Amino acid sequence: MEIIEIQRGPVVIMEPRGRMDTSGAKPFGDRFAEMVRAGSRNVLIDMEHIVYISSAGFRALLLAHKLVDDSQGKLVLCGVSSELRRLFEIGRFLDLFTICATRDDGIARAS
Amino acid sequence: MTRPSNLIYSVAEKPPKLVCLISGLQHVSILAPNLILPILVVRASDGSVESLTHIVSLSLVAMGIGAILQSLTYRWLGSGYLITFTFTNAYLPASTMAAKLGGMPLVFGMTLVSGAIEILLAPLVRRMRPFFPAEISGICVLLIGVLLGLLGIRQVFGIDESVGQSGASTGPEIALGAGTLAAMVGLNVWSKGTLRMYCAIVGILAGVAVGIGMGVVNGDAVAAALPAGIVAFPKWSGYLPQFQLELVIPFAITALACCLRAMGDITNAQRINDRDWVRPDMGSIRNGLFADGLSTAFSALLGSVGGNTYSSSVGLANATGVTSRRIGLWTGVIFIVFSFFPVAAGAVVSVPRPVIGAALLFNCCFVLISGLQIVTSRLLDSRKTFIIGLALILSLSRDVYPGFYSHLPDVYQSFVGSGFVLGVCAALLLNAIFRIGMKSKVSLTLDSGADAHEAIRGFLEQQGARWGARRDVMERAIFGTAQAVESIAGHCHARGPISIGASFDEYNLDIRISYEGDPFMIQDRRPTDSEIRDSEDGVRRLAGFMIRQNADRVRTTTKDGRAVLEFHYQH
Repeated sequence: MEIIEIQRGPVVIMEPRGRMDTSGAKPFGDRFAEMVRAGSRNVLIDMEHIVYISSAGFRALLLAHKLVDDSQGKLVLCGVSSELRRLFEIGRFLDLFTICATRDDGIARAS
Repeated sequence: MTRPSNLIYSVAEKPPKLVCLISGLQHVSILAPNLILPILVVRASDGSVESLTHIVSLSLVAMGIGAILQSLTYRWLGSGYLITFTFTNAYLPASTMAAKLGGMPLVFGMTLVSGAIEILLAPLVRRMRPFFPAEISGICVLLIGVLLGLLGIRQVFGIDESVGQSGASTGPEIALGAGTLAAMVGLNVWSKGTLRMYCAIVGILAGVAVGIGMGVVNGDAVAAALPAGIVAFPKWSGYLPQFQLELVIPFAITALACCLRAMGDITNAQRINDRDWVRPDMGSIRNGLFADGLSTAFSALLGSVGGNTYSSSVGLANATGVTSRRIGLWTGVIFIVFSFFPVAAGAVVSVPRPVIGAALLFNCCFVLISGLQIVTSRLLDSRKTFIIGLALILSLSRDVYPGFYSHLPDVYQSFVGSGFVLGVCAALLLNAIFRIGMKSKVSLTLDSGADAHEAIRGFLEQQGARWGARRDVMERAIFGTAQAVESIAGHCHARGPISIGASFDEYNLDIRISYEGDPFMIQDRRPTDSEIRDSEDGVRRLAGFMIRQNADRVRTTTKDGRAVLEFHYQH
C-alpha cells in the first residue's frame, strides 16, 4: 500500500492508496502509529483512493482511532465513497468515526 | 414502492379538488393539439366539414376514456399511473392508407383490429420478460424523450419533417416558443409548491396571451365551432366498420409499436413514483397495455383513429411533482366535458404551434433523463453497449436522413416510419441475438485466497455486465466474496484451490464459495470495538458479522468434504 502524507497546519492528511485488507492494513497501521509517536495528534485520513476495505482494514482504523484518542487528538475521515460508507454502515462504524464530505471540511473538523 | 421526496402528490395520494382541476387542465392543454391527427385522416378520406366537427368531439371523448382507463387499478385493467392517451403519428401511415382505400369505415375497422391486437399482446409481456431487460426499457424511455424533443424543435422552428427544412416559423414565433420555454423552466427551477405544480399551464397561458398580442394565434378552430352553439352533444358518425386483409400487417405493426411505447411510458411512470425502483413491474405494464388497446378500440368504435399513451404527460407529471392517478381521472372527465363544448375544444386546439413545441421541449428533458438513469443503473458489457449505441444511432438517423428512409420499399415503412420504432426494434433484435450463448452460471477457481480481490472483482464485474445486473447488487457481491475469501485464506486453514460459482437471473444473484478447510463462522452479533482491536479472532468475527449483514441470506454447509459458503442477493 502506498501512503501519501501532507501537513496542513496542525493537521496531517494521510492518503492511503489501494486495498485496506490483510496485506494493506499492516503498513497503514505501522505508519499511523509512527506518526502519532512522532507527535501528530490531529489526523485526516482521505479514503478517496481506497478501492477495498475488509474487516482487517476496519481493525486498523479502530487501532488508529484509539491511538489518537489516547493522545487526546482528533481523527477525521473524508473521501468516503457511497460503497465505502455502506461498509461503514453494515460494520456499524458510522457512529464512531467523524466522516466529512470534503477534504476542506475534514481539515476544519480535525484542526 | 418508496415515495420520492421530490413529488408533491405521488401516485396514490389524493390532491385537493382545485389541484386536480388545474393539473387536469394542464394535461389537457398539452394533449389537445394532437387532435390534428384524426383531422388529417378525415381529410385524407375527403371528409366533409361536418364530419371534421364531429370527429373532434368524438376524439375528445376517446382521449377522455383513454386517460381514465390508464389510471385505473383493476386486476386486469389500467397501469394505475397518471398517463394520458392521445392520437399518435404512429397510426398516420396505416390510417391514411386505409382512408384512401375505403374511407373512414375502413379506418375504424382496422383501428379496431389494432386495438384488439394490443389487447391480445398484453398478457404475453410477462413471458417475454427476458427479451425486455431493464436497459431495453431504458432505451425505450430515452428514445421517447428524444422523439418528444425533436417534435418540440419541429414545432418551435416550423421544420417540415419530410424535407428537414425550416418552414413556417417566423422570428417572432421562434421568440414566442423560446419565451414560453424560458417561463416554464424558470418557474420549475426557481419556484416551489403551487407555481412549480402549474408551471406548464402558466407557461402555456402566458404564451397564448403573448401570441394573441402578436397576432399568431389562429382562431379558425373557434370560429368553425361557433355555428354548433355553446353546447352540442357529440354525434356518432354511424359508420359501420369495414375490414381489409392486406391492411392487417401495417396495423399489427403499429399496434406493436404502440405496445413498445406504452411499455416505455409505464416503466418511466413506475420509476418516477418509486425512489427504490429497480426493474419494470410487468403486472402494471400488462394492465396498462390492456387499457391502451381498449382505449384504441373505444376510439375506433366512437369513429376516431388509433391512439397511444402520451409520453409527454409522464414528463409533465415528473416536472410538476404531481403524479397522482386522480389527475388522470380528472383529465379524462375534463376531455369528455369539453366534447360537449365545441368552442372550448376549438380554443384548446388554437394554442400556437411554438407554444406547444416549448411544452414538448420542457417535458422531454425529464423523460430523457429518466431513460438515461434506467440505462445506467445496470452494468453494461460490450453486448449491451452495442445494443444501446446502435439502437440510439439508428433511431436518430431516421430524423436526420428522412429522405433515405422514405424511399425504402413500402413493406419496410411500418418499421422505419418512426425513429422510435426503428430504434426499439433494433434493440430488441440485437438483444435476442446477443442472448445466444449467454450463461446464467459461471465459476472461477483461485489457487490461493491471498490477494484475490482483483480477480474476484474482475470476474464478478465482467459477469455482472454480461447479465446486465444492477451495479449496487454486484458491489455487495464483490465485497462479500472478497471478504469471505480473505477470511477463509487467513483463518480457515484452507488447503488447495478455492472455487467460486455465481448464478443469476433477473430476480436473484447467488454466490457459492467452496474450499477444503475449516467451516466459515457466520456471526449474528457484532464484536465490540475492543474485541475487534484486541482479541485474536476479532477480525474474523467482524468479517463473519459484516458478511452476514452484506447479503440477504447466508448459509454454511459441508459437501463432499469441502466447506461451502453461500450468499443470496435479491436482485
